[in-house]
Amino acid sequence: METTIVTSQYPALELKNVEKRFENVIALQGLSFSVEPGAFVAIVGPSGCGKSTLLRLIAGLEATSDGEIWLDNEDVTEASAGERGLAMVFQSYALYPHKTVRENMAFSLKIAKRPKAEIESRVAEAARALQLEAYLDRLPKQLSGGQRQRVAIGRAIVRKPKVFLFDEPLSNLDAALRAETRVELAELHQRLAATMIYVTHDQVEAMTLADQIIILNAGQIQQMGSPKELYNEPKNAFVAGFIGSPKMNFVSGTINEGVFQSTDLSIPGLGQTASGAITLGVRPEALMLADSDKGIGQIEVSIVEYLGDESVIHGRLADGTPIILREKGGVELNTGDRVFIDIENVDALHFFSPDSGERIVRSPKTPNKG
Amino acid sequence: MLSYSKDQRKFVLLMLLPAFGMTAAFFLWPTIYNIKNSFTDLSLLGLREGGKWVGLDNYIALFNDSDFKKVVFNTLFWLTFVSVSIRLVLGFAIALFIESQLVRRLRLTVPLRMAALLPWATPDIVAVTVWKQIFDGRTGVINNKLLEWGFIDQPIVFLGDPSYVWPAVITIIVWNGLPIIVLTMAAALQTVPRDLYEAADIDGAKSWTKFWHVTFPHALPALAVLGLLTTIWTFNNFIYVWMSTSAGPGTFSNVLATEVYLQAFVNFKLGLSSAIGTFMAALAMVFGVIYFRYVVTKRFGGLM
Repeated sequence: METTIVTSQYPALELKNVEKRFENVIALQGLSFSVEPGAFVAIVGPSGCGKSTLLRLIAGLEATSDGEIWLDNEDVTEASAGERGLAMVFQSYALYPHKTVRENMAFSLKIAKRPKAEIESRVAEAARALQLEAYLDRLPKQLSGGQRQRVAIGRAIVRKPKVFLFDEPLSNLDAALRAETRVELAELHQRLAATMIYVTHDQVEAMTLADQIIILNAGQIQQMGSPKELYNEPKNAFVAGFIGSPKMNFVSGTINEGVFQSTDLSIPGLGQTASGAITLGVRPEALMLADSDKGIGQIEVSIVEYLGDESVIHGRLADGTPIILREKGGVELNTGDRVFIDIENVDALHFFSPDSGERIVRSPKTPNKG
Repeated sequence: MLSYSKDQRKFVLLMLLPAFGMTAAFFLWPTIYNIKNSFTDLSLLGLREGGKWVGLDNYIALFNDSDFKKVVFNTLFWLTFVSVSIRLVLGFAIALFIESQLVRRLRLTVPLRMAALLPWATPDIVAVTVWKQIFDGRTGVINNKLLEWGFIDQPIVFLGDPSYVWPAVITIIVWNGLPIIVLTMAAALQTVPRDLYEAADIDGAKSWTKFWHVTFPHALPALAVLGLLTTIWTFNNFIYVWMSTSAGPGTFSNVLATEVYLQAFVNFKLGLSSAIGTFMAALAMVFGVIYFRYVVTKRFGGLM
């Protein structure tokens, strides 16, 4: 079988109603989505949501209980991991400890019985791209964490796989290196124009790297969309709370005649006809400190995190609901201070059903989008 | 860094003294005494008058003796090389089976590990005694069954027949010495990271490739250590051969450890016996040096 690197009109990867059960526990349920060739898709969710299991199903390391997995218009549901032509970068890197960097990268090609010259040139090419040329004859234990991580990526690149799979590849790196490697990964994706599926619990990684994000919770897809869509139009309260840092604030209250009312907050001018119990969602960056007496309500400051360019203010409403807001620069506030808060724009508010958590579209917006 | 004052150092030395004294009294002194005796014609019957200095005569006699060459061959080849090789290969194979996916799926891993322990709990002497009964020419269960099933017409005296004596002795050694190999290798196999197998799966490796490229390199350090240790333990073992065959038939299964005994307490030649003992110690030291080189200095790259 020849490896082809032409862009196909078929999705690089498609899942059709995939389900995974372990004994009686349903780990993943009714998963259907497709990934366009060249896309960078991040799968995010809290621990235990099934995201690693999903990646292992795609990789062929676990068998599906139900449904189909297609790669480039080919049903691979029953194919073994080796037959799928994918590459995976493990959280632990999973480098062969007794093999040198060169042998690690060449291993899959050797198994595939590629000609020696081709193996050498592919390894050399990957090593050059990842600045590993000086380390080709070292063993993994002689490398730093960041270098090992690059070898793991190199091992994937060498194979010219249909799809790259990443399982939390940055979680073993320290913060500085993580940020650096994140940028390198983004560059790599652009340069290779390859399809990448990336599992992480870190929504910042997902937001910065991915074209499309799949939010997974309790084995089900909560929402799939671009980072912008997820941020601006979260389908439900879970997605809204998961995307964005610090987390979105949620306040339970009621809406009536275009006025949101909770024990401590009152927001008029929402122009909505729906009425009844509702959950208000507002991101920390959409809130601001207000001059005394104005604004939508008052909080008691519990702690202020000063970050240099901005400050994150943690406080509580009188009924105990936690509120976080971000302010530019430093603020002169102390624990116990009571301050008024306001919103910058009513368009930045989100509303969710208090029962289902589903998003409630606020009002028919003026049709002047994009 | 810790640094000790003069007083502390004195105290440390004082505390080490009893252990050092015991070692010197029970190991160092006998060693020197033995080496000294090996240059004399000391006899068990003439302990009071002592031996006459004969220089290297005992050693020269040994190396010119073709029977002694056979004893050395028996020791190195049959007793040590064959029995250690079989134990390592069989032990590793059993460990692979116990830790295999199949056994894990059947939930038999722990019961099998326990079962592998059983021979180890049996003292060598008890094991050899029971095996002697099993191998017995007249009443042994093996002969009874072979006769019953019609494989043989005449009973085989396993421990008295030159064609069968070494395989029989080695069977006893393997049975008794297998558990430590199985358990150590099973433990070593458990340390192989699972995701290496998965990485190999994705790389397209089949079972055999995975064994050679993932399992075996991980198991090798443990296997090497076990090989060296069992070699040293077996090489100077007296019990297996003496208890099962008394070096017989005749001196057919004689080994160095039993030869030391025979020369000293049957032939009363303490001087010659001491020379054999010194020769054994020298051979054991070769293994010791290799052992320290590879294990103590951690040649195996921190995988231990």
